[in-house]
Amino acid sequence: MRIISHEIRKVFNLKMVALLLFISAIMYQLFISFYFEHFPNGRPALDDYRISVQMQKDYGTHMDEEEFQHFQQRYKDQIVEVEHYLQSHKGFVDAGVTTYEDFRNMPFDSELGALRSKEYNEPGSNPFYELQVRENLIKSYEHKETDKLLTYMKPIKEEQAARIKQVVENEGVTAIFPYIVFENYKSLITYVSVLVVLSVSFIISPMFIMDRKNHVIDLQYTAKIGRKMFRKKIAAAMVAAFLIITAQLICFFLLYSANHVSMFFNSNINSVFNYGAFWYDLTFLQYIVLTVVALYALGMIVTLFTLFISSLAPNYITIIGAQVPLLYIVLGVLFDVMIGDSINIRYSQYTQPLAYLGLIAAAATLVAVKWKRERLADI
Amino acid sequence: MNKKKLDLRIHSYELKKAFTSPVILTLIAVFLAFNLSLIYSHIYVKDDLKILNKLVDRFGYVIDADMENDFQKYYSTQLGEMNELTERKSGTAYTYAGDFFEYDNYKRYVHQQPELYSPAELDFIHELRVIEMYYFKIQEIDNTYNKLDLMLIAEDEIGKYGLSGQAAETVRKNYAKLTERLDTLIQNGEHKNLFYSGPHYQMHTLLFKTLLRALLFQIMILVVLITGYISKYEFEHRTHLLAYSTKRGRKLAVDKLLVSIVASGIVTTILVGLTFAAYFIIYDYSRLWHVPISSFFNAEYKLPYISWWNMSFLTFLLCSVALVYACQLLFSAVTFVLSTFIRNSYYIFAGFAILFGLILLLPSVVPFDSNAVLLSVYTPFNLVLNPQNRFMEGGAFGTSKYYEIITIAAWSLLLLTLCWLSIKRFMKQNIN
Repeated sequence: MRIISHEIRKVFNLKMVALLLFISAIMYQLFISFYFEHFPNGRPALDDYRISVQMQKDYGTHMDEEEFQHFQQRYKDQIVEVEHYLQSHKGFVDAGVTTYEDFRNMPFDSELGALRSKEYNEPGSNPFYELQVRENLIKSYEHKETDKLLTYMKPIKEEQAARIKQVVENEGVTAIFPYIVFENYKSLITYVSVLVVLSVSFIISPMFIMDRKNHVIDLQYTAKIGRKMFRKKIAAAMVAAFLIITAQLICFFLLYSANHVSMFFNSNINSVFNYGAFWYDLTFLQYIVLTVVALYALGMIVTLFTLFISSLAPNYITIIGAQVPLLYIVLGVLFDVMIGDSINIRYSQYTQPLAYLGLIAAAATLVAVKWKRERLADI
Repeated sequence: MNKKKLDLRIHSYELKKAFTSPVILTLIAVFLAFNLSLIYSHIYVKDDLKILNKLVDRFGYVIDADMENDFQKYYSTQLGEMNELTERKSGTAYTYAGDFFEYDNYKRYVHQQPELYSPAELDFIHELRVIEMYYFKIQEIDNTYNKLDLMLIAEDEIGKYGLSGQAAETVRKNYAKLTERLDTLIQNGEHKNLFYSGPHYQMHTLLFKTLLRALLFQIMILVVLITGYISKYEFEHRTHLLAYSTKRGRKLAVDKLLVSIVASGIVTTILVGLTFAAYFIIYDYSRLWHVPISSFFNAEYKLPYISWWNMSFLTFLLCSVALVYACQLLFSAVTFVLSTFIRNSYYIFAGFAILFGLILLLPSVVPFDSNAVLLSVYTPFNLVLNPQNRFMEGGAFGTSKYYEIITIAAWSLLLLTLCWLSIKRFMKQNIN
């Protein structure tokens, strides 16, 4: 235990931690902060968010037929309000625009267009944007089946079609869950995962090479406990990686709580107001938990691969060089499958578990083989 | 041994350090394989490209009255031939070749009656459809350029980034200059040249965005690794006390800088050379080298490419490659400067990454109403981000006639000075 805690302290030496904080801050500024500062991003996303929150308050997690009637009625009432407004506004009356229909059909390239865009540019609650959003929501609700199908490229596979059918028949499809919330979380967790993977790889990489460079290994391996150092180091690296991932996730979720999306936690992600269909009927909160678990697993996989590279590489450029293709595969090729879109029916149901099992098996085998050799290695 | 010979031997030993390192060679191979896969992923357009080559063989690429006339005649004869064929086979005639591929028609005559047309006949109709596309696009050219208002684009860009004051004025001025250039471009007829249709095949994006940007980053990684490795070699192999304590010793820093720069050049040559060789072997540009890059046909989006100078495709390509070399040499110098302050090559790599990030963040800390915000992108790090928009209109931050040249020149001077200072510092530095 003492050795492990020493090793962990070695990993978190002042320079490395300072650099890690610095790198995290830069990555945060470059890629992540945008999704906090601009949520909801512009209009009508803002109105969509507001209306969805209201819907959730009024109807709960789902919107049944009766509630849908109510929602449509609200839309019609709002049109009446808007038409009152148009008829009392001199500019519009002069232009002969007295119904909402007319307003929608106003041409863009004219003085009328300017009048119209002036209305749209009103800050705050804006009935014109809201109507647009309500219309879209109503349309999505009415076209559940086709909407879900449209997300996927034709020809659609049999099991995908079956799953879509199941989703549409399920009550979950009427869940109140705006896509902007989902997309925002997906973008965030994707960038956070990139940050986590890079951080883990950055911190773990020098683990073995530092000792080799300082010729500590020669000393260690002549001691009784020496050969077991390899296993202790693996344990230390896993703990260190766990700590880094946890710290970064805590920071992330603290920041994320300012996005105010908790009211949708119990909504089914297969909602018609969200794009696509998923293999499992998860609530948003369950989906978040799934991504977090996946991220821990991914972090551990990267840790094992990095350790393996670190234990073989003779110098720093080899470590970094070997890390480049590894990180490219993890971040560039597999990312969608492994984190953000993992249970989307775009991929076959077994893609995600198989990808994880395969990678874990590969990483574990490499480290095990290395450990076996380590026990017999000549120094 | 005389001095020159000694220098040469030192250089070759230093170079050997970089290129006998298996990781550098492996990475080069991995990157090449990756680039080939990028090239290959676009292979489906290959046959279509041949159709334009045939057209160029027949009419040349310059679009003038004679050419349009000949092209029109050719197109109508071909269309006639096609209709003769379809009338014979199915009793139908088409106003346009494209109509044949309308969903219902294609289903009826091709999917449901696979015997009706031979593959050669279908190829012929497909080819005609492509020819037709070029034919009708030629008719659009004048209209498109007449409607182009770059000042509107300028306002769009200013709005997009929320620029104001001085910065907005500069952007307007730059676009006003570009408007003059657009007039010359139209007078020269640079836009009236055949090229692989941009919206259909996206060859400019494939070559200058996908491929060249990948190359730039790959070479950057290699250059930083190599430079960091060479300059820290003695420290990491514990030979520094020996190597630097001799009479020649401290001057090794200069050798290391020179060798790093040479190594960067070699890596760049290998990667760019092989990747582009593969690209141009697979996609045949042999007839189009001299077509201006600002050709209407090259345009992929709403706004055509408008280069600051009358550049042919070949010139543009060579300039882009020159830019790659320049950037890599600068990165090598940046790494060298970092390496005199940082002992460990791992931290050098991290330091370079952090510097890159900080420079990308620069515009967000400068007020958006001053020219400083526009100047903050005059760095080699920014140059590698959008290689497809070099030497041409490239948004609020990328549209200035001498942007690339000024960046390279200014940073070369800056880094030359910094390298000199670093070496001077190293001469007296405690190496223990």
